[in-house]
Amino acid sequence: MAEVAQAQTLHEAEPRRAKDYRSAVDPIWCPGCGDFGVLSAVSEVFAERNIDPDNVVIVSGIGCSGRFPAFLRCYGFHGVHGRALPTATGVALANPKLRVMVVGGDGDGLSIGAGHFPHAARRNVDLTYLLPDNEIYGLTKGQISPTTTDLSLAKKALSSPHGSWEQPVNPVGLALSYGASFVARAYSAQRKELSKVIDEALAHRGFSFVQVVSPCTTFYNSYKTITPKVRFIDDEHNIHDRNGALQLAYDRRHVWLGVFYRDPDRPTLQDQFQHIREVSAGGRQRALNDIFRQYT
Amino acid sequence: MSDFIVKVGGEGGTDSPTTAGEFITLSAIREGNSVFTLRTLPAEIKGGLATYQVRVSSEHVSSQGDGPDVLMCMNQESYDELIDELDLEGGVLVYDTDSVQLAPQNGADHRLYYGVPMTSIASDEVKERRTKNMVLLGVFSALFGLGLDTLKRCVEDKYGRRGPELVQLNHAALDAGARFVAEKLKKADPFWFQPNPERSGVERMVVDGSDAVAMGAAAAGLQVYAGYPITPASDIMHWLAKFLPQFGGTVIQTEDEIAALGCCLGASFAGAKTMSATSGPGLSLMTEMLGLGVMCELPVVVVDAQRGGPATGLPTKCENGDLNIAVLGTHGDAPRIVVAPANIRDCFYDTVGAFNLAEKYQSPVILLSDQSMAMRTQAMEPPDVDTIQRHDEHGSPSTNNGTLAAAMMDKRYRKVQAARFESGWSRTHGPETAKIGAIGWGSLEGALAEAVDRINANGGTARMLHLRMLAPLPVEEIEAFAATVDKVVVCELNFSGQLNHMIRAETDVRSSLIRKYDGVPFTPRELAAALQEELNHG
Repeated sequence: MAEVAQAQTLHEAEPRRAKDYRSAVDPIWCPGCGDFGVLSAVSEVFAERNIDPDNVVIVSGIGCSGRFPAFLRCYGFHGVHGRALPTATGVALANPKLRVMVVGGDGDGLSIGAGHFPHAARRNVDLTYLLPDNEIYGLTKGQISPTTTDLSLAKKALSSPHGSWEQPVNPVGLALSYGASFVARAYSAQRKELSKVIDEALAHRGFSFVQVVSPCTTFYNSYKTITPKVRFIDDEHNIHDRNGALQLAYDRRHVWLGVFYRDPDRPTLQDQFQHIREVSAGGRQRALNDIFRQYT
Repeated sequence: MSDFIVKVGGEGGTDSPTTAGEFITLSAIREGNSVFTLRTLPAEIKGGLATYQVRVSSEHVSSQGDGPDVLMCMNQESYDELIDELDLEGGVLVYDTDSVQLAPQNGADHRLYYGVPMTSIASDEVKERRTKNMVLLGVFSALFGLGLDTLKRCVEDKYGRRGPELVQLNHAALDAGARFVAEKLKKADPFWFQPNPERSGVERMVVDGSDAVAMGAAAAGLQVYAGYPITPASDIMHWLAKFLPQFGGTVIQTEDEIAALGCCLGASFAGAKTMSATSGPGLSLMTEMLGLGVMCELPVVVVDAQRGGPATGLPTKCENGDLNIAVLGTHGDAPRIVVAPANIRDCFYDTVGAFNLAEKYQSPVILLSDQSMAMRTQAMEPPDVDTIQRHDEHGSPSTNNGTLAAAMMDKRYRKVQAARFESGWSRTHGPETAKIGAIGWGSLEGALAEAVDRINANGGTARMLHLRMLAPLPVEEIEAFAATVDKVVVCELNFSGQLNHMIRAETDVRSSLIRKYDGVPFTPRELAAALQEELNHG
């Protein structure tokens, strides 16, 4: 009953506050986990935009960040490992009025689910994809991930006792190459910038991708190596220049934060489907009868 | 009554034997006949031997029958490959004398041969080589009694939009073929069409299994379809991609089958009626998602047009080997509903039924079709869509609440088990009691029914039960059926006898197995022989 009463308050209370978007479930994340920052930023942006939680669906993968939907008071779908993007695409196609957000980490989205990322990006599905990137598998207790850059930071790396010889992938570089219409990077320790980037991603119509550098204090504490490399993208960068964005993405000396690329004019997948829909005026029966006639 | 099988063979693309076969089918239906077609496609992407087989009967037919009675060969390859299918006693060959060199005949050959210079009639008389298939149709009309006027009207209806010249050219070719028969051939075989005006226009739609499933889905109110190309299921996606926007629906070709079912589950979560269609390899990829659908109790229809397996297997051949994965596939305990249409009409109505079951039981429903059903055509009455019945329960990461997990599992099983008392998902055929009782599933129903009829006509007694819901297994119904017969045999198009295992595991029935697994459907003759063998030695 307490749950129901709280939910009603959320509908009636205007304006909504950030904590109104948080559910009664407490995160199980370790102290200092970057994901706390991501969760706070999302609920703050929701409150600032006074977003109706009835119209929000958060779809997540499996991993520490995959637990996201449980901690927010809105619709949530915690699916299977690596498949959050196609599941979210289905949600978006079924009801284009919904605001769809996908949250899944580096293992979920760039390893097991890597095959879905390019397609969601090139289709320009109208959704926001937050990828909290801790460069490690945390939930399974410390194996290397496709974004692990510095094995010396990995506390256990039980699956790589003799080292790792695999090049890490660059999430922002991938998103740009895949044709995402909005590409950004944020850092859980830079809360103001994080909220600003998430806000811009939500405002974008089309596929908006945000890599959130979100260190794992237990298995891969990268705060000390990342923080000194942080630079903020300023007005000198042309936000419509994909090649310039790629140069920033592959800058080895710095971790650039902010919006790398944006194409606000590309039609979304939902727009395209709406465009070809010509619902038969005579209803289902007439449409079917017209089709049946072609078989006689 | 007339009932015979015609097979046309030739070079796919140039001879267009398939077009000729389609015109025979359409004309035969317009004259009140019942048809059952079987198409084989060359493994080549373009060209190669293509064949079209159609059984035409003045009464309703429910199987492809046995071998061809009339074989029509348009090139050497079709003759070389198909001649052995023609019965040595009374089979009829019609062949193009310009392109077919007959092999030496031995004394046991009592077939009838009609030679027609089809290529030169088309090239010299009609002045268009490509009308060879129309010359063949003219010959066919004059030899076997299919109305030439009916054929001409079919040509007008199909080609009229492309201009009168094309229609006239094809009409001339039809006339030329018929004229050759009148002037040069003397009919000496018994095969002759009998129009059945009473049935004329009743079964007037000619539909294949893929289109019937797609139409059923559109009629049921499908809103989001997601699929990945795979033979022999892609035709369902093709139909829906073309037509579903007219119904306000969306079709998306996803990057793989995992994404396809993921997309469906997401859409279902958001309230849409959803479906995906695939074949065995795709269903293998979908199994984790299937478990998610069961756990979240999301309605979704998954069509599996079964082909030969395992792995890539035999993509263009037929096997009913996916029952196990459909019923049991995924880790953990995941009860779901599995249905299997047995003919083209079922493909439409059972798809509607599958959507209704999915909504009613809030569960994934798997519909098992197969390659032979996806590609064959049968005539059916156009469905009256208005009379079709259409039917229009929060999750956080689990704490260690074992009681809750058990209660949820109990609920899912209890819920889905209730579906086995749904009526109308089986059919029986034959006398009330019998020495032998055959249980079948899937596309072999028509052939099995004919085999049962033949046993009964030859002094034996046989009856059959055909199951169209395989999960949950209708245990009570199977046991009641077994009580009416001395012996139960399960007939299946797979090696291990997957339904037979389920029946022996879940019921008191000690059934035996008749099986086939060479990629080709059962003929009535094969099933009758196997049933007779069981009768003799059981």
